Amino acid sequence: MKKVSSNKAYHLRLLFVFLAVEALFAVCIARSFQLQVLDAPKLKKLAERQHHGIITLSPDRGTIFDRNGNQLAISTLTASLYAHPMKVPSKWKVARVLARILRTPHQSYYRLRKSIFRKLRQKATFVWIARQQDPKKVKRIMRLKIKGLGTLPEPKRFYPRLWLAAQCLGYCNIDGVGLDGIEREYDKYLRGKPVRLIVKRDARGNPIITKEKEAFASSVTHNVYLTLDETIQHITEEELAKAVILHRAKSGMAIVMNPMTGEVLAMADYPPFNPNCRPTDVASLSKRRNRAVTDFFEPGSMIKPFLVSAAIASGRYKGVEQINCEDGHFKVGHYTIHDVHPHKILKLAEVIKYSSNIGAAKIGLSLGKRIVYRMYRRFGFGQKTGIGLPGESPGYMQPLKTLPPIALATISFGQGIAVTALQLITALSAIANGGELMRPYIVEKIVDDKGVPILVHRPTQVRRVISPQVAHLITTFMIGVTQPGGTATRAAIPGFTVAGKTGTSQKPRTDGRKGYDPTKFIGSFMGFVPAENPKLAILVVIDEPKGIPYGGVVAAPAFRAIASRSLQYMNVQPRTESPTLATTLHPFSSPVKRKADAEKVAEKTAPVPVKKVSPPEATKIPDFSGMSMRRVILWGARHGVNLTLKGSGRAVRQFPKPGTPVSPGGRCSVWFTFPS
Amino acid sequence: MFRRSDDSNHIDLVLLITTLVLTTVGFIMIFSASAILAQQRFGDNLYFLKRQLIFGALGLLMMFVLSRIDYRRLRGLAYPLLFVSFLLLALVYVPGIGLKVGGARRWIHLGIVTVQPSEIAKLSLIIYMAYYFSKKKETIKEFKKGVLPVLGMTLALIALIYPQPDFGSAMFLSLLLITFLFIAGARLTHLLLLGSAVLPFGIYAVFHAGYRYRRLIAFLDPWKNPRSTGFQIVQSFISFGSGGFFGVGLGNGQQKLFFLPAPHTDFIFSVIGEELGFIGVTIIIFLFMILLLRGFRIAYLAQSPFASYLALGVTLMIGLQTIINLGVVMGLLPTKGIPLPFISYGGSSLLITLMGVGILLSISRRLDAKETARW
Repeated sequence: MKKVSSNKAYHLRLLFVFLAVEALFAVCIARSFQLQVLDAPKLKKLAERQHHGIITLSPDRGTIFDRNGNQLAISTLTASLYAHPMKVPSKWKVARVLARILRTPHQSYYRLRKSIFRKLRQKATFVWIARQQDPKKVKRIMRLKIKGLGTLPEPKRFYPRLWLAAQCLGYCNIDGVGLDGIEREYDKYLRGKPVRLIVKRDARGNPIITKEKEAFASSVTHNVYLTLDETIQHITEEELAKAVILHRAKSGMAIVMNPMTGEVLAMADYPPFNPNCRPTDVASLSKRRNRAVTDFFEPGSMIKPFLVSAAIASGRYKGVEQINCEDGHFKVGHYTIHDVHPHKILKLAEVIKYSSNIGAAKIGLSLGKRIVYRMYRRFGFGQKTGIGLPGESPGYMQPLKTLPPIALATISFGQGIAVTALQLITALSAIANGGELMRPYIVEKIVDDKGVPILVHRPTQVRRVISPQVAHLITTFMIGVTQPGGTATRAAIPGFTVAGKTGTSQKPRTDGRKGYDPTKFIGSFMGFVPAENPKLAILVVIDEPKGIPYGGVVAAPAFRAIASRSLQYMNVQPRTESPTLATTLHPFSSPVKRKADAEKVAEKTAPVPVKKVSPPEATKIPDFSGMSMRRVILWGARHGVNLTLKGSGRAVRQFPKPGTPVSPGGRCSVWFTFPS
Repeated sequence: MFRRSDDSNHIDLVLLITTLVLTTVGFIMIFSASAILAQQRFGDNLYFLKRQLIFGALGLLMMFVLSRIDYRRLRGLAYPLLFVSFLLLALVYVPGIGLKVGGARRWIHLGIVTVQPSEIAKLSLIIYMAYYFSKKKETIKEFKKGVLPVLGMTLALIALIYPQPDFGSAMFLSLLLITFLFIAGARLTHLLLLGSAVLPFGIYAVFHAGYRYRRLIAFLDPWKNPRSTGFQIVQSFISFGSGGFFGVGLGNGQQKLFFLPAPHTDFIFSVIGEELGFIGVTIIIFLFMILLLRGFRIAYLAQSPFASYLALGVTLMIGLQTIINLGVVMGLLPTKGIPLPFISYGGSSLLITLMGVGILLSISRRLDAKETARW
């Protein structure tokens, strides 16, 4: 038998080891407490970051409709490709494969490959490889079963009418955030609630549970109905484009308004842009501005009806006064005001009809700056209209106190005051509708996903500016403008009475010197029709036309085209006693008359050389394909063929076929598109 | 402390129940941790569970058989078992029989199943040590006659296991030997001598293999490179942390989804930490503590030195491996591949562990009536 001491020592050592091991277990419990209770918040955050790829995705953006329910901006479902770069094997090879599939004709394959490769080399758990791609392409990639790649459905904004009303609608960034236009102003309605998409993923980057379906289903977006009419918008853009191209102008804008309500039926800016393409540089961004709202310009003679309104409304003039127009030269202080066509004595109505600057200056000077300013302000100049579009400008009016006498004279014929196109058409509508200034609006209503309206705009009167009697009188004066002898006979529409006013203003110099640039003009025309019961108020502004710059030449024909086509579309019947319906319906339909007009204007104005147009003969329609719109329009003008132009860009399709004989007055349709 | 409740020689029911509970927890957690991995790799989410169940059944059967037979018969098996162990360990290096998985040769083919000889070696060494120390008694104080033979035998096994490479098992065997020597009453000077001899070897092992060095650095400061060297341990921390107090619920863990390395084997306890929380972790550690208590109690009350050393060996086999595993997954020890007994996936480990418990149960049937044994 063993010694007891040895036995006891053995058991003591056994006990010691036992306690030591149990103590180590106690340490483990303490450590577990530290990790799972004390450090848990920090570690949980880390865990969340690594498993829950939290991606903010906009749900389907609401649709933008025109007044008749045509879709102008819609959401389409695309597929986005992402990667867990650390899980992607042989990155260079993968980048090569992806670039080959994802490339588009515009993209350099090498650049794309390089950028994909760079993304794959990132030390991250989530990178977008390519967003908003054709689902078919992404499906092809996913079929390759490359480790670490995944796909998510993502909505993308699509503008099915391409360039139509692009500046007005605005555009979105890749995350579906409205950056301009309606998209920006009504972003919170259109966007709905952005969904923080929690994609739980394993370490290999494969999503395990994606919640996008319920997320998209639960998000509520609103649809926006505009007051725009797709057809009138199209007509307006087409005719504006024709006018800008024909007169080799820099740009142009046009607005069509329902003068009774203030609804904007069309709002066009030229040059156009395709909102489906992302802006590439600053130049293309500036094209996206809705200049009809954001930019102001000197209205020139278009201000005169408002001046005369002030004259009549103040009671100082009755409308039958005669004004000495000084044979074209009138000195105010050190300045001399000129009239393009010298007149001696003009009736008040004739000051508008012939657009006498001296007459206007004299009226302004006789009224005093207070009355003139007050009336301008009542018509809304110098203030934002509140249409609800981003970047609206209030225009510019000099402070009343510092206004020198010569400035009172010049603002009477539209110099030294700057207005936006929207202000001008809104003010004109006030004359057209009998003296009520309406608040212009472009959004008719916003409805939720069930179609229940949540925001409705109704016609809102801002104020009564002039009495119906004064408005009526001014209207009769403005009718004279389109009557024979007026400055805008080309705005006349057979069968309708057109009230309007031309405007031709010089542009301020841009080279730093004071004064106006002698070569840069803005030719414009505003008018409403039918004058006795106005349905449409239209403003056309052509910026920097080459050749004759007068509004009556460059803008009035566009006005006529927009008005006549829109009236026809709106089924507004002309008076039946109209004698010249057939001959003057289209600006290009009667080149002889056009030539006569041009000569008449040339006679009345400074000797600007006018290209003689030889009488057209029957000709064959050429192959337009690839031609610019400008060339097509010039061809149509030369041969007297009525053209229907669809789209923008280069000609791709035409009817009738090339080679078909056509005589003056014949018709031809050409479709244009930008190379995508 | 280890007083017996009654005189009758029943098997240790507490030990049996604890073992069954831990084994069951193992099955559940293996399924939870490996289902997605198994689905991805083999198209069958039960792939790992099925294999573990087969070994579990086999292990329980062996446990039952061993608990019924007299443990004293094992005394005669000490050398044959060691011989078999050496043979199997050598076979690992024979191409065609040895199985190489992930750069490590740790398994051999046996028909449809694979066996990990180092697990068999562990139990064999324990039986041999029990036999050896119960025989040596006083001579253990002498270095040549007492310490050297068992040291040589252990080093011979380590020499075969270490190059597999299986640093964890080699470490475990060294630790087992040192603990045994201490309890058997070896001189502390000898132990210190041994320790100072092991140290340079350990340092060499760490600096020789780059990954061990990186693991050590990662252990010292896991947050320095949480994406590369510290990845495993940081992922394990995240598992425990995201589990929190109550856990995310069985099966709801995220970390097993390829974040955790070896979520169903060496890092299964991290999955437990995430899914069952601090509560679950504490309960399972308590189960192990109970198991150790029963094991040490059996060693304490055993009738003979051989029985005592055998019970001690099996208890230490379970206890030390558990401590090492827990220490690794909680970042208290540098990363090394040691399975968690009963719970980690691994047929050989489960089989050997259950057989060890069978031996314990067999010893528990013949405990001394008195508080201290007569010997």
